[in-house]
Amino acid sequence: MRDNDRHGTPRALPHQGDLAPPVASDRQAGALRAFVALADTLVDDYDVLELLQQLVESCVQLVAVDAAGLLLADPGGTLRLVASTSAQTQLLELSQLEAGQGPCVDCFHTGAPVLVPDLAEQATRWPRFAGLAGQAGVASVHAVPMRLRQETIGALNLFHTQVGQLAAADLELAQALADIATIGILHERTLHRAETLTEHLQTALNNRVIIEQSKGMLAQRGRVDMTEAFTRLRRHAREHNLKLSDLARQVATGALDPDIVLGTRARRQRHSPGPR
Amino acid sequence: MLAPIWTSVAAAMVAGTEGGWWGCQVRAVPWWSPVVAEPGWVTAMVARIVAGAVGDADVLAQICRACAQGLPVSGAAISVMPAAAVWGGTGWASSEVGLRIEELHLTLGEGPYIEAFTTGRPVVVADLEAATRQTGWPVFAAAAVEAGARAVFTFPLQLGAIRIGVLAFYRVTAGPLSDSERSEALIAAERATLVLLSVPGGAAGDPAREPGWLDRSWVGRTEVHQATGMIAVQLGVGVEEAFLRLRAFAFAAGHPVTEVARDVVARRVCFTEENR
Repeated sequence: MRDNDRHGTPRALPHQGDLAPPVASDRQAGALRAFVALADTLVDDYDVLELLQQLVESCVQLVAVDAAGLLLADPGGTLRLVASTSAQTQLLELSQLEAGQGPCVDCFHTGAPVLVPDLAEQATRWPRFAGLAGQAGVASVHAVPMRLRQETIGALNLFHTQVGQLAAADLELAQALADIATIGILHERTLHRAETLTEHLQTALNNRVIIEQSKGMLAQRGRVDMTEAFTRLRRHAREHNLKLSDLARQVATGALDPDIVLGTRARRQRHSPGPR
Repeated sequence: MLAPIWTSVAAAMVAGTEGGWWGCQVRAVPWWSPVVAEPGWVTAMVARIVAGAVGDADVLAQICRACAQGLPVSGAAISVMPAAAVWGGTGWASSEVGLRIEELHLTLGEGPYIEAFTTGRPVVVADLEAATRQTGWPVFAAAAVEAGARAVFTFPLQLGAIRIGVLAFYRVTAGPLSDSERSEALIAAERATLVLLSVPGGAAGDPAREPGWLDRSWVGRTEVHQATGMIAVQLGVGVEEAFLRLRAFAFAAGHPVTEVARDVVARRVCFTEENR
């Protein structure tokens, strides 16, 4: 892989355009290995970025293309470049994002493949992208969506230095690889979100327990009812700029004397101690 | 809102026993009536509930109701438990017996809910009377039989390593669940977990972020925790020990913890070193 020169002009893509595509049985074996490798990452703690880098590299190995890039939408819905097989690809993807236009961007928005067998022919659709891509030697682009049912989370983009539509089998394979990666990402997001939400749920439950416990302690110590106990708790929290749950935890764990919250300590010192 | 579907679905319940929740009366049906719900009905109902119910305060009740009607059980309950399960969870039950079963866990500190929650595996006991000595919770088993349950089926509410509580069923007659019924229960548990973890957006620790059902289900438990706080001050101990004392007292007196807690809060019962 050659880097950009210092002025940022993309050098030509490395290409294997003169090589015949892998033999069918080799390709099947290669495809199976790629699937297994991807699937492996779904069952264990895994690195999403590593997964996606594996995906784009598998594409270049198994499908008759020269380079691949992957765009994913962030939580705000903005597309970001997440993986690519070469620095040139990186530049091409970034330029699409910058301009907000390109076959990969269209693919993400429509959730459908965007197949451009001859980029030069369709240069008017995305003039800036077509120009940069042409300089890098890209002659055709095939973008497949990363999608599960109604949710499109990104796009997998295949670049070739030769004009021509990818074979149907190649497109299917690329889509299948993209699908596995999509499931993995969505699954990981669900788990991560569920972990976060569980934490919130646990916190909410624990806060309720602690607040009720501290109310009980104040009610008993101060010989007041629960409503009054809660009022004193909230007042103290306000006056001392504390979160209610934090204050309650201090009382419930014995770190803070309930008398202080009740405000009775000062009064007890002024008057003779009465019956408790 | 669900239509009054129980008029067309005969669930197995003991004649004369009526549960009530959210002001709806469950119509008593002789227990020998056949269950006419088709396989997949529960799954479809729960899916419909889930689709419409994110953030809905009644969602736990709706899920319990759908399960109780579509499966050959006498009642359903959901219990959401904090990680430190000693405090007991919060939740719903579709009948008095179901409430009693849930409460037994709080009073005895043992039972299938706690087992399913800690192991992450379903706990299925088709005949409580026969299995009393074979379970890890013989005291609970005997008490549950006394309360009217002969079979209990408990499924953890979990997503991967995340566990938030249980979805549980009981039946007043002994007998297993079929494979397809078990599958439906597992699916219902999975969906319930996802719904329970759905909260509106907002910062962590923000009360607006807490789910509506948490408030609705919490009403029955406030006194237990308030009483714990009061006992902590009465005995001069920490809240953990205070809770164990409350539970021990309730067990010795043969009363549910919730009942004793009410007495403590109403100051009808006071803990001193003498009456431990």
